[in-house]
Amino acid sequence: MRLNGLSFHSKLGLSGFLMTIMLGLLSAATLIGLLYSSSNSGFNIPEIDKVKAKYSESLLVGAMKSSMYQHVTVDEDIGVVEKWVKDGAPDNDYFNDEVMYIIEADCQKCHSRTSTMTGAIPSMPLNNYDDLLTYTEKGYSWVHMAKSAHIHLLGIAVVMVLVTGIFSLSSFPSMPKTVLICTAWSMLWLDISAWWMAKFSSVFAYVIAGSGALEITALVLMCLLSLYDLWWKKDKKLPE
Amino acid sequence: MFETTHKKLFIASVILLGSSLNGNLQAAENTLSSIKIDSTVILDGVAEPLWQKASALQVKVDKLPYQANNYSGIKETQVSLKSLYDNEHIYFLVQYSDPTKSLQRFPWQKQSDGQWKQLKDKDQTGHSNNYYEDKFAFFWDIKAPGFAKKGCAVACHLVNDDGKINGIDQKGKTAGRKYTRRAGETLDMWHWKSVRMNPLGIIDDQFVDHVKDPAVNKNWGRHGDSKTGGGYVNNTNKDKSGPAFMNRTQDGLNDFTIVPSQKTPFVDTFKSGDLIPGIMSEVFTGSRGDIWAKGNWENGVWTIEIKRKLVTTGDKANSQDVQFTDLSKIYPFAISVFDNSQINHVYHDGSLALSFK
Ligand code: HEC
Repeated sequence: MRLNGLSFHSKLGLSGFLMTIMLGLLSAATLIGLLYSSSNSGFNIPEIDKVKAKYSESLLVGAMKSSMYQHVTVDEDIGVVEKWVKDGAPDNDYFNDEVMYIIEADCQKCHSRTSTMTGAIPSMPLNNYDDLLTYTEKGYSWVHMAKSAHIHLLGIAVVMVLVTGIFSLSSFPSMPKTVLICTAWSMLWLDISAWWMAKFSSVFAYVIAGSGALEITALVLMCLLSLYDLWWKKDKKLPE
Repeated sequence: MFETTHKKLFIASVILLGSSLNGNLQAAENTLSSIKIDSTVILDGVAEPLWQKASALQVKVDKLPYQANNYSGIKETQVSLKSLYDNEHIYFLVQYSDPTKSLQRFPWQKQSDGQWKQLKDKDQTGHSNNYYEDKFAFFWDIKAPGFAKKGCAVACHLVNDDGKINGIDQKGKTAGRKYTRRAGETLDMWHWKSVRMNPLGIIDDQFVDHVKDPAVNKNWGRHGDSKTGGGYVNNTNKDKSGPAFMNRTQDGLNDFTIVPSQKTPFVDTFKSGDLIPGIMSEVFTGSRGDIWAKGNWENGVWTIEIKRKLVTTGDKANSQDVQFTDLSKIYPFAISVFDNSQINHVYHDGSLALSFK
């Protein structure tokens, strides 16, 4: 079976699927760009510091540098909380006078069990020492990580088997097919394992960014090439 | 041919994909440009042709600080802002839709038994959402780090899970308080009030500083600017059983405050259901009354024209008023709409910017 030998309606159906996947990838890339840049609109290139923040720092400090940065009043506040977490997050005067002061002023509006403010998140209160302690573990907590990892792996695997499957039926030479299919799968594994490794060294933030970018590129390329094959590359009469 | 149809279909999809990307690329433009004029704006709540010189900044306000248990006001509206300036003054035109013109601020009402009752309602925080007035507010950065980034949120403090703000019990007292972080950090607050101040043609000019203790100031960081006179007081007789004054010409529909020219002692010739203002207002003199404004509600739209000196003078002007001294600078501000509510208001995230052209 070859892609360009398919009936018009099969081609139409597959094209719809491939374009939907590309749109999905585009929104994923937009989301990543928004989460890891200092802007909150438009299409952005992620900043490596923000990626580092998310994967090699505590959720609390990491969030202040990335997704919650817009709520931080002055940048020095992040340093105050960071220092406290580095020191082992003790329940001391520094916590009460300095850290809690910032949390009270900038975060509790939304992070409170009773808040009804627009955008509030009552399920994640930051009301006291114990509440905060939940988010001071370095990197993603193991539970959080395992949750995200399995959803990512299982979800992406389904998309990937379909895209690589369709692409494998294209009439392109064997070599580029092998390269793209291997790249897509190996980058997925590398990406997710780097999430965990980043807990131990922030160098892996670069691996996360690099492998993620390659993974998306490989998928988009496979979609585009398959589309090209579906509609344009109809000249050769079933090679091999 | 069939082939070309396929190609067209494909190209159309690619364009579709591309244009969705394009939508993402469009950056939000949050700057209000003030345009130089050499005539003057007439403050009457009607936008004269002169305003066509300025282009409008559209701001969506769709967020609320809390959900009041008896709030039925607007949860979202679009505010159109324009600005003009001349050598001495800056002008603003504010327009937004609000389906209800709300003026009955705690009015007295004659009951069927001949007694007078003041109409009031309280939500879970002790504030009114039904017998109040429409209001509009500006916050201007005087000197508050973070305002340009976060807007009003820098000064907004809501009660926490223990019902406290800054460690002080506020249960049932309020939803939140306003204060800045440190001494010397202030915001200018222009509080336009459709009942208490609009008939007098001024805005209640206030400011927010770092006070976070009701023992120091009942309203925490929120203060009226320095004044030499004027203001508003409740219209209540000695034994609090009814109004003390009334309007000389009482139309019962539009005047829900009593201004000096209308003020006359209360004589009860009314019938059951009649309303008398619950408040009396006089023009503020001094810095608190140095912004002029006139609002007019027509067909579901408030139009408010505002005028202030570019640079104000007087007692503590520099810590209580934003000063437009350098017209090459950008001035961060934020806005909010109050629909018949005492403290609940619809706001936007972040700040807006005023620049002079
Ligand atoms: C306007 C409301 C709001 C404010 C203010 C706010 N947050 Fe959040 N925060 C949220 C919401 C909603 C989420 C969950 C969704 C998300 O991640 O955006 C969240 C998520 C988080 C998370 C989890 C992030 C993750 O990656 O899972 C942390 C940690 C956090 N906030 C900390 C803070 C800190 C610290 C502050 C103060 C500097 C703050 N937040 C201020 C609404 C807010």
